[in-house]
Amino acid sequence: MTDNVYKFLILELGIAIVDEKNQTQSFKKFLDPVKSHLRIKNRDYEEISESLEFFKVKPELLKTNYPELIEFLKNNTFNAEKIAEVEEKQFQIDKISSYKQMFDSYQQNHSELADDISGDLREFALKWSSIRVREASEQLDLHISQSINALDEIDKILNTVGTRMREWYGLHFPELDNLLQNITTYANIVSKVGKREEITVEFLQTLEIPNNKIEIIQMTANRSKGGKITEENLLILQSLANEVISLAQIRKTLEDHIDITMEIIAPNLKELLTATVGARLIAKAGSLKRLASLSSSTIQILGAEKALFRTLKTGANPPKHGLLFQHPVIHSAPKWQRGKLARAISSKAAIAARVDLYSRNPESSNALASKLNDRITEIQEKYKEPSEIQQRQQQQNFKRSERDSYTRNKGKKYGRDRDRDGDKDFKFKKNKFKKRFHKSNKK
Amino acid sequence: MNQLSLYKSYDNGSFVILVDQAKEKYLATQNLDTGKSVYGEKIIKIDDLEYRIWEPYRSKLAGALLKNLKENPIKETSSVLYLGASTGTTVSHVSDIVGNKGLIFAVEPSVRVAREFLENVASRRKNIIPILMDARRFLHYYSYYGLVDVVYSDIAQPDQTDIAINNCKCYLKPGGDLIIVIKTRSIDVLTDPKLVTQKEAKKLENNQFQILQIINLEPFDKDHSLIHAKYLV
Repeated sequence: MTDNVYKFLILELGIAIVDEKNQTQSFKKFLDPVKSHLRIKNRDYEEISESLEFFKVKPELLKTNYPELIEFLKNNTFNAEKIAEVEEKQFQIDKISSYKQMFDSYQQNHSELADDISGDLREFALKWSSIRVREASEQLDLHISQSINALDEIDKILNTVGTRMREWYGLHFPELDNLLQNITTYANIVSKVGKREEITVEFLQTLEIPNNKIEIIQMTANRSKGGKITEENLLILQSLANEVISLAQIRKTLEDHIDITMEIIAPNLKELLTATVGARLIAKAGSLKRLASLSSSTIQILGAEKALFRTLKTGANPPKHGLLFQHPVIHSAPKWQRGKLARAISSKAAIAARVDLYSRNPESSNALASKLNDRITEIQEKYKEPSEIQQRQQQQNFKRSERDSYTRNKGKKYGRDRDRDGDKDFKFKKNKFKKRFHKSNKK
Repeated sequence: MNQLSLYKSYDNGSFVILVDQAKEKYLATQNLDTGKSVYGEKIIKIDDLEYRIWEPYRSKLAGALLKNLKENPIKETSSVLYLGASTGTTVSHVSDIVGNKGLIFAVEPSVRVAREFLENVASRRKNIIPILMDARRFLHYYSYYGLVDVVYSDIAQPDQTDIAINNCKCYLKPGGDLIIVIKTRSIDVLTDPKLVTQKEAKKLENNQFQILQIINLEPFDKDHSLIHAKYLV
């Protein structure tokens, strides 16, 4: 009873119902192919339901080339499955003649030439490709990547321009540079007041400077070793200071924005790593989807590629952490704990990325965070003191720097030759031999 | 590059070699989309015909031609399946050569580069059909039809050869040509590029391809090689 098996095909230019002998039984041409395909992609199956009305008697089996439809068809009591690969391939190859047959049988006043069909297909390809580009550019995690890169760049610019402003204003009031660490406060003084004689206590209080510092500033302003400054120079300096203030404002807005966006797209990642570190990982991986498909060992060293390839090529010690180093727990921990902490955090971060991408379950979020915190405290308790081997390594490093200052080979690479002699029980050093004599390097 | 004159011309003038006063040779193709330079290449007018210089440091096919590719399968009416179109630098030159009677199905999965490809190349040339998909899902290409004469593959993935072979088995006509650029650093960072190329060539031979030529693309591209093979089915 193969007569009752039909192929239900969603093609570029229309919906076709074809029987097992590849004869077209029904063909509905799309008036606007791109719009129809968008509707079908967004699960608006109105046109499909219309075409399904062709079946007065339910067929035994409906084969379709659009897998997302299978569930819908089954819900409408059709027996549906995916079309076989060989049939798909054959259709791709015979596409023009198949379309011709469909247009001839089912469209009146149409003499579709092969050229017109290929022209229509090209139109569809151009428009559909543009839509895919547009959709992909709307993803929020792309905006996060741009935000975090903007933040890093603004930091650099702020630093450069701020330092320049300090240097320049230092010609007029040099002592202020050492007194004020915060660049925004400094810039406010330059911009809103300008001349050091006109700095008042009230104004400094509005900038929330502690009272003892205000006294010192007043005193040094009167006895300053800086010279007078002309109106013109002061004006330009003040516009520079205004730039610093607005850059600092943008920086603050960016930070808040990243915080808010991370809460929306990746709250678990934000909780385990901070918002900035999470955003950096997403930016480095390219998108949240890519990050979620990485293994936890990759996440651990993401950002340390130079060190990683050095390990593969020369057998040096592998990096313990890449971008993760910026995590507050890791960079404030003593050196011997960092590797273990990086490994623990990255393993949970990998799970968090996957949870964020696929399904948000508040239970799993709490479980992740609490398990990670348990493990972190465990590491911090258990490894309070460095082990014997690590202590010896630390001492060796210390001795090495001492040795180097006396020997002639100061800049040359030590390590490979010297390590071969001592420390025979330190097992990781064996890597240095393995990699160089690996069979893949045999010529 | 001052006064350039025609030295040799192929494919009915669509692909030419120009020579300047210092006897330096340059590859060029006759511009199908007159007036437009796709990637900043120079446009030359000779006898009312407009040519675009084909830069070997930007385009791997040009590099291969300069390193003596014996037989160039891309001709005036060829249909080509181009995997890895990127921003369209080489695709534009292939489009110039195949002309309006030829056809190029250009596959590229990355939206960031495809955006520029669509704007600068695909929308302006009637013989290009852009397909924004991963080449691994070759059965689902939209707007693709028929069998092609040539498959050109320039993909940076560790399984690049397998992808090319699967696309050929599906869509390359019997006796058709495959040009595949082997990016050895995408396959294996540590091994010698020559060994990697040999391994990939062996893979092709085991899948009914006859290797016609293997070209090392130095100095134009580091650690890249190009294989020209024929599909014997």
